[in-house]
Order: sequence, then structure tokens, then C-alpha cells
Amino acid sequence: MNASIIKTIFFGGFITTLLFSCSSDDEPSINPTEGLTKISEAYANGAAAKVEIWAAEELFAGYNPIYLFITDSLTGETITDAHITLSPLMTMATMSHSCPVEVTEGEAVNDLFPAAILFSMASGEMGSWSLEAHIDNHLKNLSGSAAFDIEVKATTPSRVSVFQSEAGQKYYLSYMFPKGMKVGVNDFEVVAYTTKNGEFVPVETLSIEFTPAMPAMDHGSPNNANPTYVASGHYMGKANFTMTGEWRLNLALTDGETSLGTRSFDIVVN
Amino acid sequence: MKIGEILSIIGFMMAFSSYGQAPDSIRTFVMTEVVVGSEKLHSDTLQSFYQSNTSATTETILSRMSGVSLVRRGAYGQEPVLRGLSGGQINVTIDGMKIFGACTDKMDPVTIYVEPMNLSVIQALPGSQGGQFGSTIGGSLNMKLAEPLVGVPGIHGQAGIDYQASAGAVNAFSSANIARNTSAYRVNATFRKSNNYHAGGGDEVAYSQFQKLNVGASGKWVLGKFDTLQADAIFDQGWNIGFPALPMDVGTATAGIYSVGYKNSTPWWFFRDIRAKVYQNSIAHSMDDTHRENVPMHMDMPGKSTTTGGYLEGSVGIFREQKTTVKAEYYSNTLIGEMTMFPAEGPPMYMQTAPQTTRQNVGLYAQQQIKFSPKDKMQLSARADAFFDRMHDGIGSQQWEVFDNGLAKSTTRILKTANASFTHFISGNLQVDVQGGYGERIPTLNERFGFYLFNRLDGYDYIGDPGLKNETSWNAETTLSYFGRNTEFRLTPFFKTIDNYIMGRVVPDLTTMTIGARGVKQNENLAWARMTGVDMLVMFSPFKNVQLVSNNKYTYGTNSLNEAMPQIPPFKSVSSVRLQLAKFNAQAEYEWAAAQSHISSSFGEMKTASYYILNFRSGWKVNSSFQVNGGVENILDRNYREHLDWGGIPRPGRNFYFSITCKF
Repeated sequence: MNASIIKTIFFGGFITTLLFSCSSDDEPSINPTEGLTKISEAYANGAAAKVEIWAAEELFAGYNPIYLFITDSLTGETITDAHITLSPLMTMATMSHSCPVEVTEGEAVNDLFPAAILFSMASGEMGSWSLEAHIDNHLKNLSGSAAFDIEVKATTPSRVSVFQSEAGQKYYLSYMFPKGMKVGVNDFEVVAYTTKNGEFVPVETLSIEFTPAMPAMDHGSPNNANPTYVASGHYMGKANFTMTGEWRLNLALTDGETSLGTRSFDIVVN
Repeated sequence: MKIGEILSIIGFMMAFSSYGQAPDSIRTFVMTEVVVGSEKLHSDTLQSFYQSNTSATTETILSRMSGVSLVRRGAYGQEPVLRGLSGGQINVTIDGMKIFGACTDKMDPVTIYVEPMNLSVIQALPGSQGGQFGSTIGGSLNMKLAEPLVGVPGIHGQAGIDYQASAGAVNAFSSANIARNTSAYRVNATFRKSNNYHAGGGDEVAYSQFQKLNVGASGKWVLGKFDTLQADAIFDQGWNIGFPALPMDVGTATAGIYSVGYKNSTPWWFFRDIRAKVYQNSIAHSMDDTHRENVPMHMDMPGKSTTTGGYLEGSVGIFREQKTTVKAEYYSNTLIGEMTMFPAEGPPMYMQTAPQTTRQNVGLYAQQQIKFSPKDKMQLSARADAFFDRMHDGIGSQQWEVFDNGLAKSTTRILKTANASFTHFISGNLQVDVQGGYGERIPTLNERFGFYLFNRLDGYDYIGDPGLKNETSWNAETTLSYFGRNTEFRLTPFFKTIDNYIMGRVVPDLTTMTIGARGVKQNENLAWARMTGVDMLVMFSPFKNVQLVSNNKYTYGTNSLNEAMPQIPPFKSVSSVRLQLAKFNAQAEYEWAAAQSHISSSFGEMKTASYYILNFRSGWKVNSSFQVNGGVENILDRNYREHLDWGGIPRPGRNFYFSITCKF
């Protein structure tokens, strides 16, 4: 089974924020990967390119913003004009499958190509993840693929929810805090994908009723904003945390007219 | 201290004869050892009446003062109420020093950090008369520190020990004055250890224990003929202080209070004298629930309050007969209240119930005494204050962002207070005082920025409102005083209206923070509240050795919701008869309070029944060194509570006490 690849215009607000959080547009950072961890690197044979994958943390089951840093494999020159397709693949004993992927079109931002992968499960005894990046090197008009061995961690509590509607429609749900989680007001993003004709497509018709609560104390917080649709399966809202500790993000979901029940993610605010 | 000076600060005398020596119409009494010559018997009676027994706490003495009541949440740590107003509505100062409790649940009114051994005088100035000690609507309680006495070299002092049967309490206290020709030192210490007391009927009141240690030291140095330098330090620590009416107790409450003062009475420029003081005090307070049963979740709640300030005060002699006093003062108070909860599973949960905030205040005060004629005089005072509140960056201010109310982290406010009083001698022994004024008070930091502060009385979590307006108040009172040969009488009806009265309003769509809370309230300004009441004091001496003192106070308050103002005590009367012989005295007391049915049910108040109790006190002066006191309070072992007692917790039942004091 071929990996289905979704190329999306990745809405770049939070990516830009991440990238420029330590530098302004006028002064490109000397080290574009500062604050990030190198996940893996490989050569894209045929594209004359070395591809490095960076992320803020190790890959995990859930929505992972990642960054590709591509250099000319001979000169070491940074390649900022390329076209990328990402193909993650989970190989299991009897089957294999992919997962939703987002790649930003266009030139690199601050030498990095932002992308994201919503891993639907962790690597483990059930199977293992691999990732292929196909690079069209516009600098040299060459193209080729790099293969990466990746390890996708399971997190406790889980940061992804894969479930089916009563009609059997499968959903891939994850979340992220583009600016991190803190006591106070937080940008809160829900990412939702489904499948259509064997391809991953963003869910554009979710309505989300969002209520954070502290399970240990049975209280919530005021003035949260329900995540509303922005683009590409991304929903943006506000999550308010009045104290540190464990919070439960309760998301009552309706897709169009179909109720999908309430999905919850537990997080720890430090 | 000269006789005249003493008389002037004892309110009964109204100070006309000692014009120009101390602020007038200050209702005060002299608490510690003072040499008052022929007036000894007289003031001794009052002192004994107010102090009730030699080891009384500061708050117990306060409760017996005219117009003062206490909000009682435990056996110790009771909050003073001046004519129905408390908390941020009144100033409580130590020798003019600003000091603020660190507990978000008002478990540490600052009166717990000073002991009578530290003090000489407590002044209660209701309403706008309290402007000398800060902008206020309710008035000021100022606790003057005892000063070292310079003089003939030698050491004098006292030491005593006291036992209270109801709580199995031991109190030990001592003070010593070390005099030199040009300097003096005063040291004092108080230790208290109290177990749970027993209510009327014999039931033990759990979590009513407390322990504390207080140590004070002062030094005074005569620098020249007219100027002195004085330094004072008080260290006070209480621990394991139970609060039966609250869900938590106090683990430790520690205060360090330090000041350096300078006085110069050399006329300079147009000043007659100058007094300056710089001070610093810090309070660390931590609540404790580890002794409680069935705690849903253990939590730590430490609070810290640090205040630094100073003032410069002087008397100005612009006019020969008329005295002007001016004062400039500054303080900065930083407050933080933290809470860490420890759930059975998962990481600890942390928040700032009092987000870290600093309040700075600059105040200017002027007071003018005008003597129209030997029979008429007037006193005018005015005060202006600038307050600058700043919320610190950090979790506390992040928490506030969730309310999305465009919180300004820094605000500046200007407040005004003014007062006028007029005294007229109708005849040789009849005097009338008329007083009126305007006051403003800024909401406390907790009223503005408090974050889910649980109020046990109404069961609601309270959140502040940073935009809360200042309370403003007009007040008026008149005092009719009669000084007869063997009768003294003072009647003070008063009226007060408060605009922007601060009270909590239920916010239905907010979820509670405290487990078991009934809901969330946010502080808001009501249109108004109005109070009226009367203080009455009668002293009567039918025979040479017999004195009768009756102290009565009544306040009635209503707010614009047509509801009773909360925490208003009913009519209360304490009457004493005292027999004073050469070496022996005996005093019988009758304490009676009316029922309170004019209550604020939205504040969680319960109706309170009327009660009366009887007390008996006696003292025997064994010789010039030893004094023995003993008595029994609540002789009839009544099970009763006062209206301002929280949680329906009854007061102590029959209590025998005994004390020995040694003077040296």
C-alpha cells in the first residue's frame, strides 16, 4: 500500500512564531535549528541533498511539527528552494499504513522547511515507522528520496485519539499548544483528519465545544474559546489554565450533523 | 509622662486643659505601667476594665474598647472591627507603621503580632478622624509601642505567669527597663501556650489551640538636649494556631518588625518639633491542614507580606495659639499568597491566590487646631494619598489573563480624606463635640487581585476585581460628655454613609476552585451602605472605693440591596462594678449582647441569640513586689457565641484563671 500524501498549505502563523521567537525577520538566526533536536538525517540519493529532520521534541504519537534542513550533499550549501513530499509508513505484521502529513509549499523559512506529521500510533511491538522524504532540488533540478529510521514514542497520557463515528468514519485527532502551555491564556490548536478514498483529508466541518477541567479538583476555568476552523484540519481556540497541574481537555465534537462524542486529552501544565 | 498628657489621651477627659499636647478626641486608654500620680486609682480602674486580666492578649483588650469588636474565627487571631468596619476599611498601625497581614483568609490580623508587653497605648480613631494614620473610611487603630525610659540608672520591670483553666493555657510575660543617664533599653518577652478550650457545657472545641512567642527590644539614646534616637525591634512567632471555624489552621505565623525613629524638639525654621521614623516589617504565614481529618486534598498555603516605609512629622508654629501638625509618609507593601495542592495522583497544582503585587503609597497629612475662645475650639485635618499598585510578572498575573478583562498591571489612584471637629464647653462639666468628615479607601490588594479566595462563612470562592472603585464615605458624630464629681458619662451617636460599598456578587457561570465551594463571587461596588450607631460609656462612683464602668456599643447597617451589612455586631454592653481597697480589689462584670437578626444571609450569616455572661475578677497586692490576680470568667458556664463568631463555634465556658506578677 502506497503512502498517501497530503500536501497542504500549512498555515504558517505558529510556525513563524516558533521560528522567529528568538529572532526578527531582519536578522536571520545564525543557527536556524537552535532550540530544536535533530531527529534523523539521511541522503536523498539522486537529489544531491542531505536532509536533516529537526523537531522541538522527539517524535511521538500525535501531532508533530517538524523542520527539514536540506543541504547540498557536496558543498554543504543550504538549499532553500525545493519541493518536498513526506511519506511516513507504519509497517506491521500483516499490513502497513500511513498517517496525515502537512508540508508547507514554497521556499524555506529561515533555512528550514516546516512540515508536520500526525502519527496515529507509536512504534512498538505492533510495528515500526519509517519515513521517506522525496526532494525535488530546485537548485540543481535533481530529485531523489531519503529514507529515515524513526522512532515514534508513546506518551502517557496519549496525545492522539483515533476513533470511528457510528457510521464507521475514522478520525485522527490531536492537539498542540503552538506557544507552549503555561498558567494563563494559551493558544490551543486541535488538528483533525479523516480518510476519504484511502487518502488522509483534513476535517473542515467540525464544531468543537471545549471545556478544560482539573480531574483532581473537578473544576474548570473561565473564558475559554472553542477552537474554530482555520484551515487544513486545524482549529484554533484559547485554553485558560488557572493553576499548574494536571488538566483534562474535553472536546465535545460534532462533524456536520454527526455527533462524535467527547474526546479528552490530559496534559500537565508546569 | 505628665498627668495632663495622660488625661489628654484618655478620651474621657477630652483634653481641653492639655490643649496642644496631643491630638484631641482620641478614645484611648493607658495600658501598661504609667505613673499618673493622683489619677492612679482612676486610670487603674479603666486599665483593669480594659485589660480584664494581666495576661490579656492585644485582641482581648481591643474587644473591650469603645466601638471595637472582633471577628472570631479561632481562639486567637481575631480581626478587629471598628464600629462595624474592618479589613481594608480601617487602618491598623503599630506606632504609625503600616503593616499588613500575609494570610489571604484574614487569619493574621496584624494585632496578633504585637503583645501588650510591646505596647503603651492603643488609640481608636473612628471614621475620618483616623486620617493621621492613612486614608480610611472606618478609622484607625494605632498601637503605640512602649518606650524605654531614660533616667536614674537602674533596672525596673515586671514578670508574671498566668494560668487559664478552660484551655489549660499558660501565659508568661516579662518586661524590663534598663535606664541610663543618657540612654535606656527596654526588653520584653511573652510566651503563650493554649490547648483546646472548653465551651459552656464542657465540650472541647477542637482546633482551638495556639502557641506563640513574642520578644521585643528597644533602645533610646539622648543625643542632645532636645533630640533622641530610638530603635525598636519586635519578633513574634505563633505556631499551631487552630481555627475551628475554618478548614485550615496556621502552621506558623512569623513577624519581624523593625524601626528607627528620631525626635527633635528644637525649634527650627517654623517647626516646633520633628519626628521621623523609618521602618521595615515582614510577615511570613503558612496555613496547615495536616492536623485535620477528612481533608479532600492536602494543600500548602504560604503567604508573605513585606512593608517598608517611613514618615516625617512635625508641629508647625505659624500662629502662636494655634497648632499645626504636618506629616508626610511613604510605604511600599509587597504581598504574595501561594497555594500548592497535592492530589492523590498527578503532579502538584500551584497557583497564587494573592498574585504577587506591590502597593506603594505616598500620603500627606495636615492638622490644624484652632482655638476660638476658652470654650470653643476646632480641629481640621486633611489628607491626600497617591497609591500605585503594580502586579508582578509571573504566574499570578498570567492567571489574571484568563478573565480577559484588559487588566492594567499598574494603576495609580489619588485619595482624599478630610475631617473637622468642633468642641464646645457648655458648662464646667458638660461638653459637646461635633465631628464630620469625608474619607476614601482604596480596595485592598486581595479585594482587587485575589484569585479564588475561599470564604468559609458564605462558602464561596472570591475573585477580585482590579477595576474596583474606591469606597468613599461621609461620616458624622457628636459626643456629649458630662464629668460630674462622681459620675462620668459619654454618649456618641454616629452616622456613616459609604458609597461604592464593596461586597461579593455571585457570578453563576464561573466554576469553583475550592472543593465543596458553593459558587464563585466577585467583588463589586454596591451603590451604598449606611450605618448608624451609638457608643456609650458611663462611669459612676457611688462610694469612695466603688466604681462602676459600663461600656455599650451598637451599630446598625444596611446596604443598597436593602439587606443588612454583613458582620455588624448587635448591641453589646459590658458593665463592671469594682471594689478597690488598699491591697485588694474585686470586680464583677456583666456582659450582655442583644440578639442579632438583622443579618446578611447572602454573606452566610446566621441569626445569633442574645446572651449574657458573668465574670468575677480579683487582685491582691501582697507587697510592693508581688501582685496576685484570680477570677472566673463565664461563671454560669453559658454556651454562647457572639454574632461575629464564625462557624457557630461557641465561646469558652467557665474559665478559672490565676496569675502572679512580680515587679522589680
